[in-house]
Amino acid sequence: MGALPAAGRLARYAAALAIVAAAIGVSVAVWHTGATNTLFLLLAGAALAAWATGRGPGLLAASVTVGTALVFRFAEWELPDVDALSIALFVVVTPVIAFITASLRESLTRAQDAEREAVRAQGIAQRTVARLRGVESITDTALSLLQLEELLHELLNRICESLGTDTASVFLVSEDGTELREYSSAGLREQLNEHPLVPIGRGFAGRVAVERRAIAVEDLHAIEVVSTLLRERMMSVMGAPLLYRDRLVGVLTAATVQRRSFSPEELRLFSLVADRMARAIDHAQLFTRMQSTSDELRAALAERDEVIARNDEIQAELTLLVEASGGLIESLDIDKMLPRILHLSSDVLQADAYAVWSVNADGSAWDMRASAGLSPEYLRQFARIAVTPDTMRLPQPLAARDVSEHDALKERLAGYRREGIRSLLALPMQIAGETTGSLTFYFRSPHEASDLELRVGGALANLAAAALNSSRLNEEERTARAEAEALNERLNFLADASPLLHESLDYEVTLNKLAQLAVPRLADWCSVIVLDENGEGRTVAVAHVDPAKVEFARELQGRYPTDPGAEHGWPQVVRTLQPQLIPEVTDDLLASLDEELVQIVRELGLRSSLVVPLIARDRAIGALSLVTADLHPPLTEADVSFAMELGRRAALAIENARLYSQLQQLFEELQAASAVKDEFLGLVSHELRTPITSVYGNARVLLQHGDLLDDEDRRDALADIERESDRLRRIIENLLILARFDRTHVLETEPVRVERLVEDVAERFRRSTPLRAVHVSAVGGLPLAEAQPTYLELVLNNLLTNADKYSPRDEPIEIDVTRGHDAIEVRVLDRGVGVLPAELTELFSPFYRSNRTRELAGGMGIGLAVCKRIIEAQGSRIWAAPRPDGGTEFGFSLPIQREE
Amino acid sequence: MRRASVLVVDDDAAIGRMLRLALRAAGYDVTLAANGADALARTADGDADVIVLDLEMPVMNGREFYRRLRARGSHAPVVILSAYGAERARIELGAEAAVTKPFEPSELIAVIERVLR
Repeated sequence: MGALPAAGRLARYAAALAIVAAAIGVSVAVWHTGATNTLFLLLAGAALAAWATGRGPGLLAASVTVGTALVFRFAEWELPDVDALSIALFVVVTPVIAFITASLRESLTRAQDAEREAVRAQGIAQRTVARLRGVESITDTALSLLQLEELLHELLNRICESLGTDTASVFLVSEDGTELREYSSAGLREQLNEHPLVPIGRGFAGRVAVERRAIAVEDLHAIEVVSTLLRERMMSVMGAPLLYRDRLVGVLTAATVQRRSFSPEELRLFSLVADRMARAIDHAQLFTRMQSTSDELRAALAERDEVIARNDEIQAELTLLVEASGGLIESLDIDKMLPRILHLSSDVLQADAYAVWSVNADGSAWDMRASAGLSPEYLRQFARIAVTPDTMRLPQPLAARDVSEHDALKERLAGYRREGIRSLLALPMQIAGETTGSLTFYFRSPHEASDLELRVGGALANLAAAALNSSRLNEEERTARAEAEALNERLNFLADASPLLHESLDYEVTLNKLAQLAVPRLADWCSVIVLDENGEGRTVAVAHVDPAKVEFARELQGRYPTDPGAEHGWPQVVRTLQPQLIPEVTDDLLASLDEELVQIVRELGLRSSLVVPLIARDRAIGALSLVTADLHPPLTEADVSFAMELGRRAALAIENARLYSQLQQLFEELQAASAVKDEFLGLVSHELRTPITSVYGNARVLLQHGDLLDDEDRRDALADIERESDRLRRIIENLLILARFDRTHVLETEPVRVERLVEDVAERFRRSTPLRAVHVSAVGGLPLAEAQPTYLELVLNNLLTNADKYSPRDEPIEIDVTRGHDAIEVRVLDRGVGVLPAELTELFSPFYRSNRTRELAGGMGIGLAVCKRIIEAQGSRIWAAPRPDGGTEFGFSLPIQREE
Repeated sequence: MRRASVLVVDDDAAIGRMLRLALRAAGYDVTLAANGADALARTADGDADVIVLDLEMPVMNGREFYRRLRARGSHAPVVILSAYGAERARIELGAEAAVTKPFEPSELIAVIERVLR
């Protein structure tokens, strides 16, 4: 009660003074009337005092007074007389004492109250601090927990604990702002499973929400509310709005079963808690929103990371592949790439089946390059799709939730039905904006492709396109490189072979070297067959790295000679001029062969063969045969053109060698001819110029000095002129005959008496050559011969001149004329150096001069040639023969004249 | 004054006779040889002042004779006389002069006079 206002206290003291004054008045009045009843005075005093103090001691004093008065009254004790002073004193003092007593007592009480109050205030302060700390910690908790539900529950527990309430609840404003929903409770209400809705404006919480201030109610029954709290038999309640930045978030309530009056501090604290709570709730809600956003973001990020990770993985794979392509060309092929793409596809996007399609080279069709999860039947039927306007070029992804709804897919609908495919996602594989293929996902249950799937699948498709393209490029590069290498190898071979082919003009040597060079670079075996003039084949070269095998092959060839009429092998190739490739030696091929030969072929491990013709000037001059066994890979079509080229070069080499040898021969002949010609020219010059010199010189001497010469000299000079002129004539005749007469020349003949003509010639010779004896012997009765007499004379003269030139002076020359079978035979016999059998025919060649006789005499070497031509032109023959006892016989026959 | 001597080496007797007539008429002493061997024999006692040498001869040809003559230490001037390749032979052998057949006797005499100077 110490809390009463000062004004009340003064009023009360004033009232007490007024009463005391009234009692004094009454006592004075009673005293004046003679009724001096002390009892009443005492009683009145006591009553006044009691009333004035209004407190226990006063009541006790009043009670003692009243009791004493009653004892005096009923014991009829005589009270001592009280004089007026006493009474006046009593009347005055009593209230004073009573007042002082009361005041003292009041002061005491007040001091005690103040002390108590101070203690209490301190406690409250401490509790408040503690609670504030609690609230701080709650706030901290709130900020750390950030899970609204947990947070509120925690807070409510703390509130119950701090404020000593039996329950605490939080109502949150609904989204539309019209209702409050009990969100969380602690204490007794926590047990309830219901979370009632309270319209704003109704109920206790509703009222708090509307009034937006903290309200405490000691007795819920005293207010006009319908509250669930009542049902819970809650008596006292306080509530505070949850306001955050003037926005109503909800309502916080706390209630006790026991009636309780909440102090303003408690209410204030409660409000404070509510403020904090509002902030926490707001934070929490924000956090929740943030968190869900964050979760969404995180999920999206995670998804993206996953995609990126996969892309990285793919990238890594591709990088690996591309890197590997550099060093390991062999391992980078599309067949390995495609399953990898399918595998990656299944990693990226869950589907029931996968396929990689590509547009073929001429862009006319889609080919399924690889697949997973599709039945063999489907693959058989739908592995190729013609590109038509309907089946399109797939410029963009095709996401078909229902395959039956797409025109482009209608041709394959039946296949999809059988296959149970409901949805598909076809992602174009593009290189530089051009669709080169598609990565297709098939779904057996309806599937709506998500953006992510489209994106990730699209990326994979593009990566796959890049990979396939890279693989294809690598493949092309590999092929090109392999071709270039093969070409290089071959060019190297040709480079090695070419000089070889021209190194030697002995083509057998050349071909052997070529064959050696060919193994094992081109094949395991190499052999060359060359046709001779008769078209018969001869193996001129066989090569294998192992010389023992070469021997074996030669032996084999001896045992199994190739039939020139064979329908296979080199005979066939030489006939048709076409190469013959056997890429694989099959059993069928061997079936026609001899059993032992089959055995040999097997033992040698012969696997493939290639025979090419050696063609020169459009005809076959042989064949080049290549055979592979265990060292060299089997021969293919790719080897044919090269082998043909090699064959062509080898043929050229053979032909060159042959031509060269012909040329060489011709050259030698020409050289010889030239030498002969040179010599002939010299001889002719000599033979002609010598007599001319004599004739001319003698004529000049006779003309200039004729008068100084004696007769003998003059005569000799003139004789020389005549003789040398005749010699000139004969030489010229001989030369003319040689120039005019060829082998077909026929002389007009006439009947000639040969023995007479011989004798005439001999006589003339004797005159011109007086030192030489010439004996003519002729059988009697010889018939006439057919001859041309002028030429016959020339022949005889030539033979006589020769005999004279080449035989010693003292040996006579004999001329025999005899009859042969049907001819007259004339023989000119000398004792000269004779002839060797080897010279017998050559003697009659023009310009031939025997080395043995060259030193003996000059001459042009035409005499005998002229004789031969003249005799043969008359249809007869001429001969030379050594004589048994030395010397030479030159003879000729002349046909006997036929009897007309 | 002594008459200059000329050795004519030629297998052709008619040429030899003709040259003898012509050279004698020109005031030379003339000796004839039918071939190289003959000529070597005829020059054994002493060289002629000039040797007129045919190339194509039996037994020993002109070239052989020339080599032997020079091998023997003779410096007698030699006039090559040939129907064919006389100048070439002169150069090859290193002879003093060459005359190709046929020739006029005065042509040869002029050459002989020249080589004698």
